Formats: sequence, structure tokens, C-alpha cells
Amino acid sequence: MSRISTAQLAKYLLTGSITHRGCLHARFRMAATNRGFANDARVQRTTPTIPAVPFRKQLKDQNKADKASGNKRKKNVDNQTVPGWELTVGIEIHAQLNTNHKFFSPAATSFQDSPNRHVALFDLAVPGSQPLFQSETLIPAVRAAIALGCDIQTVSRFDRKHYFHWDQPSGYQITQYYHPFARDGRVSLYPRDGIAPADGDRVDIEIERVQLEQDTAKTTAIAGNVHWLDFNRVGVPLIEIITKPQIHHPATAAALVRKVQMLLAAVDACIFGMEAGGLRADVNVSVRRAGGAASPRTPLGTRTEIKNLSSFKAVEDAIIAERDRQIAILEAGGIVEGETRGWSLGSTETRRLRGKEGEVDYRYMPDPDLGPLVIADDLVARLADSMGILPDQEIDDLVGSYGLSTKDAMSLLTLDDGARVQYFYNVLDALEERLGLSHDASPASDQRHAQLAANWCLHELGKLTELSSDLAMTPDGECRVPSIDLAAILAHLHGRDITAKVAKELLWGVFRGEIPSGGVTQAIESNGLWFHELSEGEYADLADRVIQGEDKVLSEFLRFKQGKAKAYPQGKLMFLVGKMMRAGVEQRMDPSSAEKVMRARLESVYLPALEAS
Amino acid sequence: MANPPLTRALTRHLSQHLRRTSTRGQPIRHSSTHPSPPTQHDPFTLLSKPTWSVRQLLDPPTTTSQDTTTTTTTTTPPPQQPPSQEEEEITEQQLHHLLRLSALPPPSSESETSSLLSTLRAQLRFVRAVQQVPGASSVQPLAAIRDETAAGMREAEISLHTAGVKEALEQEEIWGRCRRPRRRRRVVGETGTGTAAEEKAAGEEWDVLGMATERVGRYFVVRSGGSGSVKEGGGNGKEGGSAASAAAAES
Repeated sequence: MSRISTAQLAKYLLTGSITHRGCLHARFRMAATNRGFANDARVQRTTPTIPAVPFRKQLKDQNKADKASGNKRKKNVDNQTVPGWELTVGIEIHAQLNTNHKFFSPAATSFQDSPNRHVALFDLAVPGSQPLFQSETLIPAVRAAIALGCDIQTVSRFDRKHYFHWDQPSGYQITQYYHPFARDGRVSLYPRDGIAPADGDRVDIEIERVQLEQDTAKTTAIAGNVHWLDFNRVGVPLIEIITKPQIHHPATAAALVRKVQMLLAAVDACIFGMEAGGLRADVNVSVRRAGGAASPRTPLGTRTEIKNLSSFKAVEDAIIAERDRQIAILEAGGIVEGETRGWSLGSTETRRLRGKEGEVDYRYMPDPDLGPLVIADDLVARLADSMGILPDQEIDDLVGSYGLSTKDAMSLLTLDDGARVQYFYNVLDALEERLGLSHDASPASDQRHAQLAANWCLHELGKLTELSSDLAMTPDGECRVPSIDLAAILAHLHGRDITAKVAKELLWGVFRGEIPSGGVTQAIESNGLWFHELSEGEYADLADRVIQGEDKVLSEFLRFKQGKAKAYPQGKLMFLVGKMMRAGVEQRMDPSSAEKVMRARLESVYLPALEAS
Repeated sequence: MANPPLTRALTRHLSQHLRRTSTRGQPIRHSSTHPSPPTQHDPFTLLSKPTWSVRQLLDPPTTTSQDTTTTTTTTTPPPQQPPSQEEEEITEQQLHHLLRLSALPPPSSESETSSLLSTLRAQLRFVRAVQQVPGASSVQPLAAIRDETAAGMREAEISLHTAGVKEALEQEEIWGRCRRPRRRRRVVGETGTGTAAEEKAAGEEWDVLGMATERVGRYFVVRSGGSGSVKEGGGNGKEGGSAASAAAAES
């Protein structure tokens, strides 16, 4: 008899099944009778039968098991501080400036253009080529520095940072190491920007310097140690923003990067964000024991640098991971080495890229080919005056004058690259014209129409499409739902000429093009959608009809009136209102009026009647 | 040595300057026999005796490597060398490090190493001597000789009237309710590349890809990890860099 494989044997003993490969039909029958052996109680079944557990319960049990075993990763929100330790973070942000030409050559800047199409002689460091400073690159740079609250230095100088790499043809990068063009700025962060709750109501992070530097070429790695180079990006101007190490929580660090990106986009200095690769952040992390009230502050611990973080979430996750790693080392009695580390999305720990011994000696040297950069006062003054209203002030205006919530205001500003808020302003203008209201002066509490407009611009408009890009919002604030039509709908809704349900239907119609622009009122007229509300008497009749046979519910109200129940039975009230809506003609009823009438009648008619009986 | 007429002109200028800046209106006399001011202020005395020479600094001195305070030798010694000069001498290891940083080939023989080292040490001795000049630490190192007078700076400054700035500001538009300035976005062509052939900016009309020794399509090709590469611990400036082979590929 040939040897039976262990797999087959195990399968038979544990589950009682026999493979029928190669068996004839008759042998199959015999084998089938043998199966009774497997049913013998002496044979242990070790395979558990899996009961049918609902998926949600499985997830909950998994969660509990993770928490118990300690595998569960704490959410970032809960992981902002570690007791007994103080985290210190400094951030360096590199942002690509929005200019027509490159920094020191007349070639044009581009974005995702055909490779090697915008390259000048100096960009490839062809022998004999000289740098030629393009003065227009100063405009976005100075605007960025002013937006960050910095002092612009009249005279600044260019330095060379030497290192060899294939993406830097000249062997050095032109930067401003010794004399940057802007110093001593400040960024203010508030809870609405997403700082850690432990930081309170406001954090001011000081900016140590802002300097100009060149970008490098774009490298695409191909298999087999081959790299493809595109020199379109060489020499494109960047600014490097270096903050002082004053950040103490990871969420605040991510909030700072987000806010800097928003500020730079608002002043048109840097229009590509982190996702597009126009903004990169390097983070310096160190920890030290939190000082008690009596002990002197210990000096800052050794810092490690985490390079090339490419999203806000990565910034926060990487800082948390590095802090935990450093605390683990220090608690075990080791020493944190000052090294350069990297982070990739989804990892749990930073990985080492380069140690201190691999640190490059950049041999900074003033560039002899370039003269000092002298920025005239009139240029700075003109740029500072013409910046317009900055995002912080815009949010304060929206919240202060229109009574919008901070969250709504921020959503309006960030959706559609700032076009959604222009749309909101257009709708608001048209709405105010229709309602005959004037712009200003009335306090935020009187601005119900503005809040209605904001709600519709954010939420109802968002419900129309899967992706917000399907709305085709232009930068001027027009989309597939023209602002005058939305204003018309809202004007009618505000005046209670139509119900909310009808208004939503009209919005759909306008979006799909069924209602032509300017034809909203006509559409309401022709489809008979006006809201002819029931009179109060008719509501009262409905209420009387509905209350028949609802003695049990009435007794609940009586209990509250007599003080036996603590809370007003709102749920029961709404149940009665719902019954009214179903009983009556729905198009002519407004739930809030029905509720009012029912409440009044309960007080005045039904409860006294119940008490009397 | 200095040109005699130049020296006289220089001393005349110096004395005029000193007279103008003397305190409490006390005129400074030229005569060296006058008891006050002390003789070291006298420009003639100052400039009549040389205190150093290039040859002295470049040739290794015989006795002064340990001396720091002697001033009475007949041949005036070079300005004080720091006492720990021995430790500051360039070692062979540092030489190799410097050659690696500059992507220069390492020395091929002992004699080459020793000649490089001695040249380097002599140059550094010269530099340190210059740095020992009193007040040298407060002077900014000279990066380039340019016109840095007030008029020169005014000419170099970038203001609203500079051509590039004026043009760029004219190309901006004011946008939105918040009146923010914005560079007018260029209209992208149908091909999506954004630049038609006739829109090439100045400086771009040359054969870029002709510079490549190896290319694929419109890309330059570079191979890493080859022999003779400049390696430095963990990397040169960026991770995974291999500079020399790349430099060879591009040149």
C-alpha cells in the first residue's frame, strides 16, 4: 500500500473527509462507509466550527483584543503628549515660487511640461555660462516673507552650498546661508487651524529666516541603477522657511505646515501644494525630560532630522513615531544620535538614511559671480500694500459679519481652490439684491439669509455631485448652478414662498439644465409649487383629528406638566407632528408650524381636558 | 616693497585723517621727539619698518614654531602663531577627505602626498597669519570686488522701476472679493504641453539634448553605482548619490 501523505491523513482525522482522487465509483462508496470511523467519538475533532458572528461584532472583538494585547495604535488625537517628556520640533519648509522665469537664467518655469524643454545654458552649468538674476522672482518671495510677518533685509547675499549629485549640474546650489533676505517673522495658529488642544487658544511660532535657493532636477528611477533626468526644474526659485524650535505637539506641527501652505497660496507666492510636490517639509525632532517647577531647564536633546515629508498626515505621524523612538532609547539608557532619517507612508518607525559620519561638508562660500541682492523700500512697500485681505482676516470677517461657524468659513475657503467662497459672495450679493437688503451694518444675528446661503453653498451644492470638480466651478465663482438662480431659490425659501423640499428639487432642476437660467420663478409658477400654507385653524383641526386615541401619549405630557418627569417628551411631540403631516396635505404643511400649533394646543386644550376627565 | 611715492601719499592721507579725528582738538604733531602722542601713531614710523613678508610666511621658519612672545630678534618674526599650531596642521587623513570632497583623485605616491601636504600647510600658515591681524575677525571676508558705495548699491537695487519687476507687476490681475493680486495663468495649448514652439523663452533656443552622452527619448540617462564613484559615508548630499560617474555621463 502506498504511503498516505500527512496532509491527507490529517484531513481525514480532523475533518473526516477523504480525497477521492483516482478512485473508481465503487471505491468511493466503500470509502464513504469508512467515514463512519471519523464520526467515532474517540477521534477528537480539533477544527472548531465557526459560528456565524455578525461582522460588526467581529470588529469590536478585534478592537478589544488589540487594546488588551497592547497592539492597538493610539489615535493621533490621543497621542499628542507623553507624560514626563517634552517634545521640541523645528520645521524647514521648501516652497516653489510662482514665477515666469527661473532664478538665474531666462528659461521659463513649467509644470509637468515635456522634459528638457526649458533649460538654459546656465542651468546645465555649461562652461562659461554665468548667472543672471531675474528680478521678477523677487515679487513672490517678498510677498511670502511679508505674509509670514518677516523683516525684509535690504541687503542679502548669495552663497554656494557644494555637493556632488547628478541632479545638480554645477556641483553647488545657490542659496543664502549667511545673509538671508528675510528674518524674524511669526505665524499665529488658532484652534481652527487644527493645533493640539494642549496648546490652548493661540500659538505663535517664530520664523527664524526665509532664504532664496535653487531647485534641482527631477530624477526618475528606472530599474537597473538607471536614472532619467529632466532638467526643467533646475534653477527654479524656491524659498526655504526655517522656524525656531518652538513647537511642542505633533498636531501643531502639521497645522503650521498647513497654514503656511494656505498663506503662500493666498499671496500667490506658491500655488502648488504638498500633494502636487510644490511644497516639502523637513522636520527636526528632539525630546527632553519635562522640567519640574524647581529643577532648571535641561538643554534641548539631540535632534534628528526627518527629510522629505510629502503630506500633512505624514508630518504628524512621523513626528509621533520619532518621538516615541527617542523616548524608548532614552528610557533604556541609550543616547540618541544626531542623524538624518526618512519616513514612508504607512510605516511605524522612521528609518535611518544617513548618520553623523555621513554628513556632508557643504563648504558654504559666498558666491563670487553674484552681487549682493539689494531690495528697494518702494518695492517692499508696494507689495505690502497690495496684498489684499489675507485668509485669517477673511475668516474673521465671515464669522463676525455673517455669523457663520468657523468650520463652515474654513470649508468655504478651502474648497475648489478658493473659488467656492467667491461663489458664496456672488450668491449673497444676488440674494441681498432680491431681498432688498443692504450689505453691511446689521449684526451677525440678523444675517439669517447669509447663513442660509452658506449652508446651501456648502452642503446642498455638495450633495449634487460625487466629486466637487464635477460642479465646474470657475475661479470667478460661477458653476453649473448659476449664482443668480441659486439666489432666486434662496430668496423664495427665505420668504417662505416655497418649502425646503421644493427648493431642493428646484436646485436639482437647475443643475441638470431643466430649468433655464433666470427661469426659477417661472418654473415655480408653471409647476404650481408655491407654498400655500394651511391656516392656523386648519392646523388645529388636524391636531384634533390626530390626537384621537392617543391617550397614552397625552399622559406622558401630563406627567411632565405635573413634575413627575424631568424632560419634555420631545420625541412624543414629533411623533404627533409626524402623524399630522401624514394625515394632512404634505405640500401645504410646514413641520415647524405644525409643531408650534400642536404644542400650543397640548398646553391649552388637550391637557386641561385630560386633567378634567 | 611699497612704492616710495605711494608711501608718501599714503602717509600724508593718514596724517590728515588722524588730525581730523584727534580728540579734544589736540593737534597731532609729526615730530617723533614730542612726548605725546606716542610714537606708534606716527605714520612714518609705522610704515618705515616692515613687519612681515610673504617669503617668511611661506618658508617654514627655523625657530619660531614654538615661540609666541619674542619680539627682540633681529629678523622680525612673523605674527604670533597659535601655541597649538602642531595640532592644527593638516594630516594625511584630512587631505584625503578634502580631495574626496572636491572630487579630485587621491595622491598616487608618497612623494605626491608629501608635496601636497607641504603646499597645503604653507598656504594655511599664510592664511592664519592674515587672520591674526588685529581686528581681522571683525572684517567681512571679501567675496568679490564690486562697487559697494552708496551710489553703486542704488544702481544695483531692485525696485519698482527695474524692468523685470515692472513687467511682471503689469501682468498681474486683482482677483476675488479680497482683492488679492495674482499672476495671470498662461493659457495651456491644446497639446497640453503649455508651450508652443514659438513661445520658447529667451535662452532656451539651443540643443539641450545634444549635451547628453546617453539619452532615452527626451531624458538624460545617468547610471549609478559604478566604479570610481565619490562615496562619502552614507551619501554625498543626497542618499544614493554616485557623483563621478554621473558627472562623466553629463559632460
